[in-house]
Amino acid sequence: MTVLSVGSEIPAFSLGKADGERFTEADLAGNTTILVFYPFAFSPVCTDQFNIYEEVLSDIHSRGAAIYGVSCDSSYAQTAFIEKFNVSIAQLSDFEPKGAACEAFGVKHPGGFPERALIVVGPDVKVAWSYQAASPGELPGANLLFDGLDSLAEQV
Amino acid sequence: MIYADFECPRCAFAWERIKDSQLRLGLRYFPVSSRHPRANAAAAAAEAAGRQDMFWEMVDLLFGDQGRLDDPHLWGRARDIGLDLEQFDRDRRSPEVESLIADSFRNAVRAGVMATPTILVDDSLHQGVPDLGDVALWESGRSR
Repeated sequence: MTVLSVGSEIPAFSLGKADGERFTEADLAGNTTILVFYPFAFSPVCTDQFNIYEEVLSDIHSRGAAIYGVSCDSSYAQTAFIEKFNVSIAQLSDFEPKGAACEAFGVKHPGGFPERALIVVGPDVKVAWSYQAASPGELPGANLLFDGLDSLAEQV
Repeated sequence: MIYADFECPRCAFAWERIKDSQLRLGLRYFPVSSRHPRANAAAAAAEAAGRQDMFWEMVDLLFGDQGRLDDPHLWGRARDIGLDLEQFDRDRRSPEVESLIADSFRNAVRAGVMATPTILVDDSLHQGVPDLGDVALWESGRSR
């Protein structure tokens, strides 16, 4: 299973937000969105990853993009994770049915958790850029987020 | 060139490994402030010390005691190395220094730095604390 490729339509999906509401493909329309799929809240690499991304958050927002973390953890665990590490990047939970959205995006690891992957979704709700780390233990640098946004800008 | 966060324990360890080596050293700021709330202040202190030609002295003092990075501790270090304190405070709080540190972080991200410490040797990025063999190779002009 590999991450959705550039140009793919975003499939129907439903993820849980911290406030209990759902986040679906309809929330992507008209926006530039970065989805950061990560294996586990509180794992060392995921923590480093979100701390680094937090530092460039203002640059991401200044490019007109929103960014979300996506994992199979419950919203409660995700909230505890970001509060513990002073991260403000909103989180989306693929907890129940577990991994269904990850499967739809092509990033469900055989172990039942998300691969470490990045997807930039354009306002047309298609994949503008995607990246899947060679292994879940590999940290994708924040430079890749900007590579993704640059790629979208070149397509417009 | 070491990309470092003054509150990162692994950076302090890396510094111990390289500081007395024969390598020609450079340092770029990579403060991960969401993890390390005093990392920016410490980077600003190093930069301000550098403006009084005491950059590496301050770097060594910052890495040498990461548990004490509040303002009185920074003033103490500045005093110990003979800095003009008023100038030190003006510089470390200046928008120019703030912007320089932010630019250092952005440029490091663009260069592919993903975590600290990262050491750039001859166009090759080494992530993590170098072992003694790495340092010896770098000193001999070879890269691993």
